[in-house]
Amino acid sequence: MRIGAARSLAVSVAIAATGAGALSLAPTALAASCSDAGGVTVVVEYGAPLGTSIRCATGSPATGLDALKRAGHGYTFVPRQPGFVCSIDAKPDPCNNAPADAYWSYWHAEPGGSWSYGTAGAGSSRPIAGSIDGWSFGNGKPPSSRPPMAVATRSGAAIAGAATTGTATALGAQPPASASRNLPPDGRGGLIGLATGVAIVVLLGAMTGYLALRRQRAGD
Amino acid sequence: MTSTTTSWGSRRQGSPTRPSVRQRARRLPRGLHPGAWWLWAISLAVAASRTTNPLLLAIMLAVTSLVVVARRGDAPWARAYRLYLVLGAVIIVLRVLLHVAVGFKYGDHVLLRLPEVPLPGWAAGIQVGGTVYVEGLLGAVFQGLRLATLIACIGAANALANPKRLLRALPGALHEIGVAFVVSLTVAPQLADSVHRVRRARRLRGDTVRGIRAVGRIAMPVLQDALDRSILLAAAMDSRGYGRSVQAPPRTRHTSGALVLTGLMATCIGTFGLLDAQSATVLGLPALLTGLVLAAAGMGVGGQRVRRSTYRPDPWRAPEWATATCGLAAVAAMLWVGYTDPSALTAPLQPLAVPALPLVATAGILAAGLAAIVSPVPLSTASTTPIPVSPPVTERAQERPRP
Repeated sequence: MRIGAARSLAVSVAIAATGAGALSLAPTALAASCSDAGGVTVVVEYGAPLGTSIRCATGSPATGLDALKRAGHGYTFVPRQPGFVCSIDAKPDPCNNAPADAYWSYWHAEPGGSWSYGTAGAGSSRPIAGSIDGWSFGNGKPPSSRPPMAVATRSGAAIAGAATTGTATALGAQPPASASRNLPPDGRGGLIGLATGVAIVVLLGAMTGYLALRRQRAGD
Repeated sequence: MTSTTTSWGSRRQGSPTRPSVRQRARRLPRGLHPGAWWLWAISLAVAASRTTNPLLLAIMLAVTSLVVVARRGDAPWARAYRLYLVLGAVIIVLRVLLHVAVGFKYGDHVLLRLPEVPLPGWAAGIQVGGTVYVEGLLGAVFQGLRLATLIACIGAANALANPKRLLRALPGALHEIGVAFVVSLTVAPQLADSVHRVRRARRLRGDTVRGIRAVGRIAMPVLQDALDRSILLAAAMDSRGYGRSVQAPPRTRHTSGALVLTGLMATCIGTFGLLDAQSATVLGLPALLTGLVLAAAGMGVGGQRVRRSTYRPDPWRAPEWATATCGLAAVAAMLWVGYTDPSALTAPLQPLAVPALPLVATAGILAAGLAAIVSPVPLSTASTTPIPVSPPVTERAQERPRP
């Protein structure tokens, strides 16, 4: 699913961490939100070097994870533990090496309200149309920026978006381009590997069968 | 390592020089030290627990089955491996059913649209029913496969190692715990043996009832058999001096008890310290090592009062070292791949793709399969071929009349 470039840029505002001063500016209510009535605003706060991204999940996302995906973010689960979000847009990379005190926490908010911790996992929560989903990488603290204000009309959203597009480009703090839509490679192999693996299993199975048959003939 | 290769060549004939007694002893069929088999199997189980890659798990299952078929004896517990495989299959089916019923369903490719039961707010996070996706279902299958492989590894150890000989190898202080351990370990094999014998008896009597109605006719004799055997086992153990109270001075008892308890507590604290990144460094490895040393010392003190002699102790020779090394190779390879390329050990589900076949991990698992070659041929009670202890009699008969 491809979101229009203009819209995805329009709702994405990133704060560059050029220094401590830039970080202190972070908690401002940013006027960027969904122009779509049924959509969900998704705020992803990557932490110090990458900043924050605010995008719109259009349509009516079924789950929090669906909203994340519709907003154009890629995510991976913890290896062998599906359900736990390990990395968003390849942060941290690789997710196995994440520090023990930092993880992606999941938050909800009404437009202009305050963050509340998600009691259900992102895979089973049902985001309310027009509400805001927040993702924050850290030790369980809510996103440092306040939830964006509601935008009453479509035109309002368009204006707000037009205003922020330039800012985001100027700051150049978009999430990594390669990671924003494409998921990081997750242990995929080729057909040669598959064929080799199957051949090894078949060969070992044949040897086992032969030995078993010989044992049976020997009167076991 | 050279001595281990001779164990494979036990069927080699026509060697010009007569082998020495030592060499012949090495070639003889014998049971491998049970500790070596358990070390091998637990290593494989640890390796299996590190991955959900279906290719690696399938190779691991094949290797385990090959080694069991090649090197199991004909004792009752040696037939139990099939039971463990059946148990593994049941686990995979259960895992899939649970995933469909209450599992967390994720993915893009819809497989089955089921109605979802709405749950109240306090049951948030549990999803009853709902759309089943290919990704989630495959994830459940691979997780089930991992558990099935783990159980097959333990089943292999049960089929290959003689549990009663394992008991002998335990340190004296652990003897009483070991007895309970061995009894619980042998429950499944004994049951398999009971079922086997009852079914054979039924066949001999011409009882041909099959299916669900046969269960009732088999269950009762099997239960009775199990009871009879337990009483027999208890009597046998009683007559051999198990469960006797040992006269030890109270000071020794208290010392060993205090040492073991403190050691185990320090071990717990050390493990916690190792796993928790924020605790002080002293609580990590130093506490763990101190705890292990204290516990070992306590067991040593406690073991001194239990004096036992062992009749024909199991040797730990080159084949034992080789078998244990084979298993450890699998773990080492798996840990190395997990450190360098962790994604290769995970089945790719997001997006769905063909799983990778990491070379090092595959080589490690196949190295574990070498246990089928480096371990000696097991002793067989019903062997049709004579054990080659001495040269055939005919040869001697021909030699004698000459002078």
